[in-house]
Amino acid sequence: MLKTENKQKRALPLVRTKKTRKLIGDIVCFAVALILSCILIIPFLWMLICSVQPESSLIFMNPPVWPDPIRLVNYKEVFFEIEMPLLFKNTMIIVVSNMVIGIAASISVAYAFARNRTREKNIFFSVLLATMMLPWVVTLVPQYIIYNKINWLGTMLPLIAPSIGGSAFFIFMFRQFLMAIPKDLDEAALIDGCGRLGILIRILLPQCMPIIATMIIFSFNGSWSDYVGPSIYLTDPDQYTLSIGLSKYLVANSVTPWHRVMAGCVLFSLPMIVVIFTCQKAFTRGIVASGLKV
Amino acid sequence: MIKLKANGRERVWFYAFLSPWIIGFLAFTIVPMLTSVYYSFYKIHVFNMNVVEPTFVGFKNFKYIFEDRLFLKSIGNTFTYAIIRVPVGIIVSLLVAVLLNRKMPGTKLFRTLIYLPAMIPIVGSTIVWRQLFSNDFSLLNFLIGNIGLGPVKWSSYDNAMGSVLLMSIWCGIGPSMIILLAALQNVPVSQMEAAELDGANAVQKFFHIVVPMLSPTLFYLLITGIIGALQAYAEMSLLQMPGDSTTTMTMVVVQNMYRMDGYGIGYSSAMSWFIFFVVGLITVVFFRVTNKFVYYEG
Repeated sequence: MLKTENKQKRALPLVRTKKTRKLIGDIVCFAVALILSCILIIPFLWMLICSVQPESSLIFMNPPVWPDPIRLVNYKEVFFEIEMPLLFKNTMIIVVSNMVIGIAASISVAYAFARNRTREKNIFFSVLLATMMLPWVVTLVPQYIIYNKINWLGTMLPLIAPSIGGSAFFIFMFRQFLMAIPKDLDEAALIDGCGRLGILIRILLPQCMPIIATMIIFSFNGSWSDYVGPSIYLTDPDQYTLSIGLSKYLVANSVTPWHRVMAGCVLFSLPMIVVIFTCQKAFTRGIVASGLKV
Repeated sequence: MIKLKANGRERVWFYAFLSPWIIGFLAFTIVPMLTSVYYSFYKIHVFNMNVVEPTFVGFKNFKYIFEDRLFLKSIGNTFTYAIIRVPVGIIVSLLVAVLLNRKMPGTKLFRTLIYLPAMIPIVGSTIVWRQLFSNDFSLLNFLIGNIGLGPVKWSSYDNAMGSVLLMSIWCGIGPSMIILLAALQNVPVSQMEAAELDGANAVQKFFHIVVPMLSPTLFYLLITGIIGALQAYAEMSLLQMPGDSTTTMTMVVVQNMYRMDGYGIGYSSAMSWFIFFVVGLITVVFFRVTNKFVYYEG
């Protein structure tokens, strides 16, 4: 059966064969991707199912119970009970400032590491890598004491200001990406009298849109779900972020309303889903190809 | 003379672009780091996030590390975890990224779905992941039971590390996949077409074009993967396998245990610096060895 199919294929003109091949490949890949996604979303799906349970205790049943009736009011209840609009606004302030400052700083530093030729850059790069190697929790107490001394406790500053130095992970990631881009174009621009900043902004960044989108996704998700930082530094309920609001809600009741907490968790992850979905627009090839082809 | 001048100019723009990191490092990183060095030589009591009554103990904290059976055992656990987590994570993410880089309908949705497990907030994740892997009510056992498999004792002594690894890779595919997808966008189409004309098949294209072109990113994933895996603790503390099982205790889990205890800050700081040197040593070795195989343009 398979053999005759192959023979038939060979008999067809080249274009047709290529098309059928592409189609078969598409179907196989689609099936694999579908199966993989179905397996990987199980935890999220479970969260979704829990969020519409009519009763909290039903979440812990063995074997699991399908929600009957599906209770969508959970979402409305948790939305108003934890004052989500306020939490959303606070979280957004931290997320956006971290993202803008952190990514801009990381790009600048990564550019220096990727394209500069001074010898001491290796020393600085080693220090940068070293900062990733100390378990970060060990600096929590000293950090707290410092922020206490400069009166930053109870403000959002400890959660925003450190992003001025960029993130070591972003810097390293962006450096690797820049180093994979041929130097011909920016060297040509340098000879034409373009400044270093001009090269970065006008020549390199347009080729880096996919990795910038990646940094936006990571930065957004990171600050959006950050729990440890806000739980230490934010004391005023008016400044609480979404993750703090949710965890306070968790312990506020004598019996935890898990079904509503789960509804809150789903609402919590919605903005992250929107960001990852829209950022994929940058994942299109062709920018490099068009920029460099002679 | 001219060379010196050029060098000077090179240096000026280096520091200009590096300045945000220098400012951040001096203002927010170096002081807490050095303070933790100071702590590691003291016996310290922390109360309400305030340090009270520090007593100088010299190198005693460091000496204890080598007598601490739990910590010594955790070193082995950490290495077991890292040796499996890093390569499996990279290979699986690479395959998924190549698969979803294909032009076919639904890729955007698939990428988002595969990223979803990494987006479950901490508040919900304790319930969700523990229910998947617990012994008495395991959602996973329920699901694989439907297709005639299992039940598996996920959190038993023998399986606990496997469960942690499974969960960690499960969450980690999405983010690594996104990084690799970004890098895949810059693999020149012309090279792929040229290889196709030369009659290269998919496997040959993968190993001779895709992998070399992705090597800077794969190198990044390897190095940060090693650094991250040797400091792993979130997955372990999240799943919280039974107390008598010490198979999932990693170095940072043990370090955290002492940190949570108000009297252990000094000791846990010493431990952190010990971990720092272990991670540093291994990273340097891998950095040196693998950097040779990375293909950089120009």
